[in-house]
Amino acid sequence: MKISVNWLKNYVDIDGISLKELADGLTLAGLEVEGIESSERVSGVVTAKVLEKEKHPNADKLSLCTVTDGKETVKVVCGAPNVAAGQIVAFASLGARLPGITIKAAKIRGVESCGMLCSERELGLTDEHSGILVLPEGTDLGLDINDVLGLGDAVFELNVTPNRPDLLSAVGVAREAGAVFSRKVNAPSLTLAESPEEAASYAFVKVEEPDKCPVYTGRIIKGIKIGPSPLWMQNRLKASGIRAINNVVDVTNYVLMEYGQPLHAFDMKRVKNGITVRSAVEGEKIVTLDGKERTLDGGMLVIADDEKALAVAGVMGGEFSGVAGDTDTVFLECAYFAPDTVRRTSKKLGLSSDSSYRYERGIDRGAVEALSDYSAALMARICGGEVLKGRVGGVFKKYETGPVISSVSGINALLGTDIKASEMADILNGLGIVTSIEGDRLVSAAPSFRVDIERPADIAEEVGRIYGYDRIETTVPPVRADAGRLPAELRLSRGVRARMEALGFNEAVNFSFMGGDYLSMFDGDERFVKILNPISADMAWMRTYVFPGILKNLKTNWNQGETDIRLFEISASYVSRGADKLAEERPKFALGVMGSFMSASWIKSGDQDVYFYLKGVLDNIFSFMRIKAEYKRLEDRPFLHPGKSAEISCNGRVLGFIGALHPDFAEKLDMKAPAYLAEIDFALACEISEGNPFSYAKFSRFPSVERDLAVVVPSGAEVGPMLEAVREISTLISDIRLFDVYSGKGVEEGCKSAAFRITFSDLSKTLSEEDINPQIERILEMLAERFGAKLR
Amino acid sequence: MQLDLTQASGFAGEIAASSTLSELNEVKVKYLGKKGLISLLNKQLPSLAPEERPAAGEKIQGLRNGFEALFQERLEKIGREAREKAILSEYIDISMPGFPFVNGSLHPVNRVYDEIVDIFTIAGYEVKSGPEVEDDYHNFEALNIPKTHPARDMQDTFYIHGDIVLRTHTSPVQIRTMESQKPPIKIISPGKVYRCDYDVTHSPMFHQVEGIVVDKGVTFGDMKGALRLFISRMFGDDLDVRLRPSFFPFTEPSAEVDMGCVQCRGKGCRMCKGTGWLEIGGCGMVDPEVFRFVGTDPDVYSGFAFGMGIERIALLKYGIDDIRLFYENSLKFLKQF
Repeated sequence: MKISVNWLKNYVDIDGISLKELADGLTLAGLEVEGIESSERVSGVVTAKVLEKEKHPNADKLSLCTVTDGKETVKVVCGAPNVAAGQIVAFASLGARLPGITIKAAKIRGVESCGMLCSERELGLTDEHSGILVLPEGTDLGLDINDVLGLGDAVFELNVTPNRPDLLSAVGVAREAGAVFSRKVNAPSLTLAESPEEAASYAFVKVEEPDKCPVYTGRIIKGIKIGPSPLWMQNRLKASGIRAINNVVDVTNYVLMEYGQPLHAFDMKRVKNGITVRSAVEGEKIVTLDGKERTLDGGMLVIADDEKALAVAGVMGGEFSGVAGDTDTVFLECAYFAPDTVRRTSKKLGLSSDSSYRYERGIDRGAVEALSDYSAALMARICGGEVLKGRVGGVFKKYETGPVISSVSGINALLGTDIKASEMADILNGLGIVTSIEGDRLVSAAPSFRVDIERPADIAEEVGRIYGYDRIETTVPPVRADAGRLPAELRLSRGVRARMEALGFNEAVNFSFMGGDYLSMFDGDERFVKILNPISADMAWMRTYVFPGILKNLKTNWNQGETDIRLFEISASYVSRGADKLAEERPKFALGVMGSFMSASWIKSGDQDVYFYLKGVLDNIFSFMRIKAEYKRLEDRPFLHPGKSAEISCNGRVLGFIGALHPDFAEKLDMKAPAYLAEIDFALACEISEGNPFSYAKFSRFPSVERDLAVVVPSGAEVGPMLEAVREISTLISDIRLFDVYSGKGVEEGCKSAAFRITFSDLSKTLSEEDINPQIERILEMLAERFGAKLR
Repeated sequence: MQLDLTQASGFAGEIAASSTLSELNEVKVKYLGKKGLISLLNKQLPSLAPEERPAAGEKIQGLRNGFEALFQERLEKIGREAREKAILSEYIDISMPGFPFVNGSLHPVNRVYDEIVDIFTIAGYEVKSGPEVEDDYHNFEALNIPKTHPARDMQDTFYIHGDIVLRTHTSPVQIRTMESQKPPIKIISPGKVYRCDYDVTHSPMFHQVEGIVVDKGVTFGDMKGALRLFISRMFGDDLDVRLRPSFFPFTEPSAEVDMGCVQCRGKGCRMCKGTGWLEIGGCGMVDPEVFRFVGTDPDVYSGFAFGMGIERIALLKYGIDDIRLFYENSLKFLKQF
């Protein structure tokens, strides 16, 4: 909310307090001043009319204007393209002082110029300098521009928290400043003169829903004359960002900004009989002031006459009953509508206004009747006319609040302070919260504008913030000896991430949501968590796997010219258990590589498939997590290359997959090089890891014996199971490694040779040929039987 | 008869002139081979008078010893020179790059996340997590944000269903923790949160860390202490902390947490708009209403809670100017961390 500081000065004495001190003081009391815009006063600038515009005799782009301020008429050279005869402008006469310039008589291109027509920038208003400032038609001539434009003011931009609707007004801010700086506050008042004619003879008020509208008052002002409101009022509204419309509307907006009380003016001739505050009929229609037709429901409240709805209560008036140029009698509504009703209506209609904003936060319920009188008096003063005798309507449901009882020791215990009872009471009374001390008890009555003061904690906050949070001593909460342990998943993920970093991978973090079309390429099951109001279609569904994000990153980076891309991410995946239920969330560890990792180096590696690189990375991680992973050929994942993909499991529990992106998918996704992916169920991996604590195994101190064995098997035979089978054949085998795979010359067509290095050892002795030879025999027999292997 | 030793004594020059092992061996054959000049002298011994033989034998042995000594010396020298030459020929360019064990990187948000977890676990906080697809009750209701409350406007919410949302903060974790655990409670809950907002300073997904401490006698001053500890560990001991009164539905009293500007260290600069302060999060004493929802007696227990955006901390710590960089996952960005 924006508010003019000059306006505030009318209600609170802030003499001797600088703008910065005022802003800081309010900010540190909880009313954050987010910005300050200020303008300087100018001298010698008045409103004037351009009588005539001629072309400058010596310059194409300049014009020679005849200008009058009502008293004197002079000629001025002007370079603005928008200047035209008939305009009312800001005229700086000779000797005028503007920010950075003093106006002197000058010859411009040989023609004498007696002053200057000003742009907004020259007046120090804004940066606008494309033309001169043109004032509204009908503006009087010879007025001091400071008054016309409200120069020499500062405007505070305030961040008002939702609990403090009382600060959404000039008077409210003035009261707060008064409390913060211990200064006197004077709220504006007017004496109301009523005409003898009874308002009740014109209109009545009936409230059908007193819970939703506990207070409704109307004043009738007769014989008004629609026209512009005075400049001072327009300037105050303008400072708050409200456009001047006409005197009646401006008065309603003015009271809104001054006291935070929304008003609505109905044109009396549009109101058939009395005013009824009732629930809308389901499907009832009204065209609101913004020209849009709204369809209402039964939960909404309307202001209606006998025939139809005239306004959506607390939100916006109807176009039909609004004030027009010919309005001469006004029904001025001043009411209190229940916050939740207004909020619900505003949300449902998608229609928010300065009124609804205040009503839904809660206005000053106790001030409605007094403000009804005040605003009627103000309207009569500004718009002419007379206020008819008496208010129609009134309080339809009484509202009572008891005192808030808090304890001095309780407040001190909560804040960690030692503030005396008397100091607390002074603070509270300064805020208008009438407080008395009864021993350790504080008995407080909050004023009706402070809708946020209901409980002892609220009292503690008031005491704390005015006392000053900076004055509260800093202490340290006790440390609990049994805390501070990391959950297993977090601990393990840190270890894994550190390894991935050391292995040359870069950690990515992707949005949890992606496009539905994209995600369903990888997961055909209808198990997505879908966002009802996504930012865009490509951020609409929650991912069920983490790798699709990594895959996108691979592509983007490749297209940016990267040729060695290694990414990983450990993040949650989300599987729906039904739209109205919480999802199943599991962390997944996704890896993706694209490009080559050694070729960019002068150190060459072999030309093995990248699959083995990625598998090696996974094996490193599994080793760290003490997981014995098994890889099984996987042919049923449509997005993976059937010849280069595997399912990963541990003791029959599926951990995830590894493999190359299927060439069809690569083409569909426009991937310019093969991409390899893996994804591991990280929650399961952690569970397995935690269930398999590390323990020490005895090792042999006798020399071990190594034997190399090369066998020939059919090309299609998988070597992995052979390694496993050999390892399991004897407890003497402590290690087995595949050190060569070869096919070609010397090996039968359709076959390949696999060479193993087997290490034998025994805990109690040095193994002899007699110990080892029978094992070799058994190995060869087994390999022949199970894998059709022949010794090479 | 006399032995002629002249020829057999000429080896010194030849040994010295040998520059390779084979040359040296040739010299050895010439003098000590079967038909070598020194060996031949031995064969002349029988022809000498018996009384002359011992003296002649001694002379021959002298020659032989002299040869061996010079030979050994030369042999070692040649060997040493050959090894030195070989070593010289094995010189490699030690300036060439090593094996490409390229270091990867950890995501800046996760780096800060880890740092936050470390700071708080050392101070005795437990780390708790909770669902990101959350119900309205835990995300709003139990945090004292009823459906009709304007405070709902403070957070633009992604909805999955009428009562299921993407959590807008990690505060539901404090509710879930207090539901299942009696005080004392001292936890932080870092994690992903979601809000319907996307520009240079807002990301629809971001990370928050929330902390809550509940026990008998926990004070506002304790909260200041906890925040000061965090900010000094994260950004440096010289930065001050300022609490500015504010409003959150789930705390009362509530405050915004400001810290001294990381750039000007509190003096005032463009980054902090001349104020010397940067907003880093929110905090407050747990609202009695929240205690009521989780069945904790506010007359017995008190507590404080605080929340901060992890991206915000990372932006300040690393001087990053666009929050969207965190989620583009461009290697040019990631590799810097």
